[in-house]
Amino acid sequence: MLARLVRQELSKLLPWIWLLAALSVLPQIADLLWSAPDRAVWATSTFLFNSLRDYTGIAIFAVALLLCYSGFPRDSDDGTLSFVFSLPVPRAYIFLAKVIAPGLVLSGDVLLTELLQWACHLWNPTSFGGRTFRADWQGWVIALSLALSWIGVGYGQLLTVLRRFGLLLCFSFYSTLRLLERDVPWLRALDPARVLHVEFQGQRAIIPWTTLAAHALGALLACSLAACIWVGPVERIAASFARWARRPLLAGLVGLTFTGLGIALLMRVAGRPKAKPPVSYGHDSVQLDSTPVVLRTRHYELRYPKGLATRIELLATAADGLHEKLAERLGVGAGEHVVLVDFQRRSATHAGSATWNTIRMDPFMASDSELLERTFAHETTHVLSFQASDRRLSTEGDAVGFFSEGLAEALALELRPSEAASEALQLEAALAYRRLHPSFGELIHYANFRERHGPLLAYPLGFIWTRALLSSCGRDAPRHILAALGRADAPLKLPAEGLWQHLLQRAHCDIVRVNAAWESQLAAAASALAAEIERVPDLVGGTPRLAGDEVRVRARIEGAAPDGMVFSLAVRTRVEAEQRADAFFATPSSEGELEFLVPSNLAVEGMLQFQLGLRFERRGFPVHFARAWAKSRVAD
Amino acid sequence: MERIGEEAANSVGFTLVEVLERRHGQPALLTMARTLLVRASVRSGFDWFFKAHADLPPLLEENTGESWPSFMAAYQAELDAAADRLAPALRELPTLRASLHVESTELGGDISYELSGMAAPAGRRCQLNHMPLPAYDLAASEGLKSQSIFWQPGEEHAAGRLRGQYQSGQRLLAAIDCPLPGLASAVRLAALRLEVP
Repeated sequence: MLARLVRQELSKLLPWIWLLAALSVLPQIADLLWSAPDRAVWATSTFLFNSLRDYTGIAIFAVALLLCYSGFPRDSDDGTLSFVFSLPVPRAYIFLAKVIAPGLVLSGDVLLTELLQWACHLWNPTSFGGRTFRADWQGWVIALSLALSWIGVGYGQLLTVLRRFGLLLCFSFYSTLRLLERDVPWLRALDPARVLHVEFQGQRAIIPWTTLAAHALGALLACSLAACIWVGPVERIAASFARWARRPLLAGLVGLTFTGLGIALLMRVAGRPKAKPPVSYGHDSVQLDSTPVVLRTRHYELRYPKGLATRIELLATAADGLHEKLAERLGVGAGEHVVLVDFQRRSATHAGSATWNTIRMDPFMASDSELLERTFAHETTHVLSFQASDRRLSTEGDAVGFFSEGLAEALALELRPSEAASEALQLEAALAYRRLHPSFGELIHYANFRERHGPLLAYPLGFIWTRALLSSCGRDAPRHILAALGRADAPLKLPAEGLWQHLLQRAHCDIVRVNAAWESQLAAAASALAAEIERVPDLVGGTPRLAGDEVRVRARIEGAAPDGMVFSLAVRTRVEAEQRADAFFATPSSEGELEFLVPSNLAVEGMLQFQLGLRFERRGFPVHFARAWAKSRVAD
Repeated sequence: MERIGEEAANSVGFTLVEVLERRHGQPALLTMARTLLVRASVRSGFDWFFKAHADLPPLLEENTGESWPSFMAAYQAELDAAADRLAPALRELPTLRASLHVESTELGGDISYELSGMAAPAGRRCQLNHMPLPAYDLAASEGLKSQSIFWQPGEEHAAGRLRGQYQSGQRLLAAIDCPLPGLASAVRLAALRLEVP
């Protein structure tokens, strides 16, 4: 009886089955046709190591919801539900059939996707023939995907009671979660897609059992509640939901209420006072008259709060001159576009940011007019180099991102020279050269580089690389590189190494020559600054241990800490190139021991991702050094 | 390359090309090099399956008429002959050994190494190369970091450790390279993929 009901449900889902099959097959065919299949390996194509795993989870969950909507809600809306209930079949069987059918469809889709992955990777010698495939990982991929499918079906049964409002609720939930999860980390556990977040202890997969069990139980409860509503004594509740959910005004009002609650919660969290570190970065802001003022020059439209008029008006007198010199240097027609500059927002991490026609600057990050002009020249270089390269310096950022920052630093210092600023950058680069041994191969995979070292290291290394470029290939080399990058026939599909070789050839130069000069300049800086590098203590360790609601991270400095040196531990909950890390500070003991206290909810599945760093000032300019990001198991 | 080091891998590549040229002449070698290096990159599955999926073995047969097993047998014979010819010089080379371990300490994982072999009057400057690895095994390429090891003059053993750079649960590649008298390049004495417990 149940089997027949399930078959009937499956036949109703047939259009969905074909659609899902097509959605599984087409991406694999597209991958095969338009991307080099011998570059991807099995492991990185699974959600275990794929940065898109959040979206995989959301996609499975969304499909589960859609399939559930083809069950009771459709029968109810088509008016066939009363006919179904009149059949001589137990109502529990009817409900079970409507749960099992979408579950089977999703399970089939998961298995089909995995089968197709296998088929594509059979040809790749580094997948099954190499050591990137492991049977236990494959088992977990299938098991967790199936678990999420059935959990999605469980929650879906309850959400479908609310009809379209259920979808709205789901959308609001995910939007609010994305906004709040950084400030309230425990909220992450509410996301069913977290079931797919697997960490690794060596090669052993750490399965999120607690999350899995909690959501399995939650899905079971949701399913039971849905059963009570659809086929139990409280089915009239479903009918009343159906009535008001069909009224768009009412559903919209409820949706607005929920969204408003989410925003209120967000504002409350955002307004909550943050724990003050013992030493803070950046400059304190001062209360100013915030009336917006707009000042136009030949090349810029400057928008700033009235209280900053003295500083910005002084900058405005120099702005056009800087623009014209940089435009000439980069081969851009000056005055083609007016650049909009916004001085009205604060940033915790960046002195400025730029697109091809806008600049946003935080004037409080620049303590004097010279530094403000240098930062302005840096951002203007970004704007003009984006224009010179037809914005490819931004869109092809993985291969050329380090050059974008290095060029901006080098040209800003060329126009507003400062020996102290240049030496601080050289010291940062030399420290990294001595202790982190960076290579050009790492720099031209910029996203990986920033994931591994954070966003700051590219500035000094890119600065020295640009100087090596200028000394090896001449003053016009950046202009030729940007023009070659912006050409319609630029070989953007080449691997990064090949692209750089091409760009340097267009600049009548050679990548080997520039890289040799880069290495030699780094070695020379390290040698000249050897005594200062020796005085910067080495950072060792970083062992996290759970202590109540906190994680204590122990580390040690080797060497004496000079006065004013700040030691920090950055912690992140995701691997991502952008800086979205929380910083914690510690003062070394007399034996050089450092202990950082981190809220335990920043550890994900028992693993903590952190970066040990230090910062000090040299002739008024900050010098940073940080070890590479590490991930460690939190010991009990 | 990971197992024998970059310099030794380059030497293997160079001798292979040398043998190839000796057996088939420079024109055939250049034709094959052009076919291999100047061909279009693999950009899609179609390229891979039908146009550019040409590994060295089939290309060799296509361009020189010699099968891969036959060429490898000839290469091995050349290596054996070179080993006989250079036996006195090879006997002069000291045999060096290295072992690598990872130990868990209160500050994280330490990579400890031990080197042994004939003492060098002026000492040796070896390298401990290391890098973090993902959970899956792919050939390690970019990101190898080095730490200099000074093997004291007159000593037959050297030992040391890299402290607290790797943490519990991390995987890493560690390798020891040492220079040998009489050879222009360093020799890889050990290379291991390790895991911090």
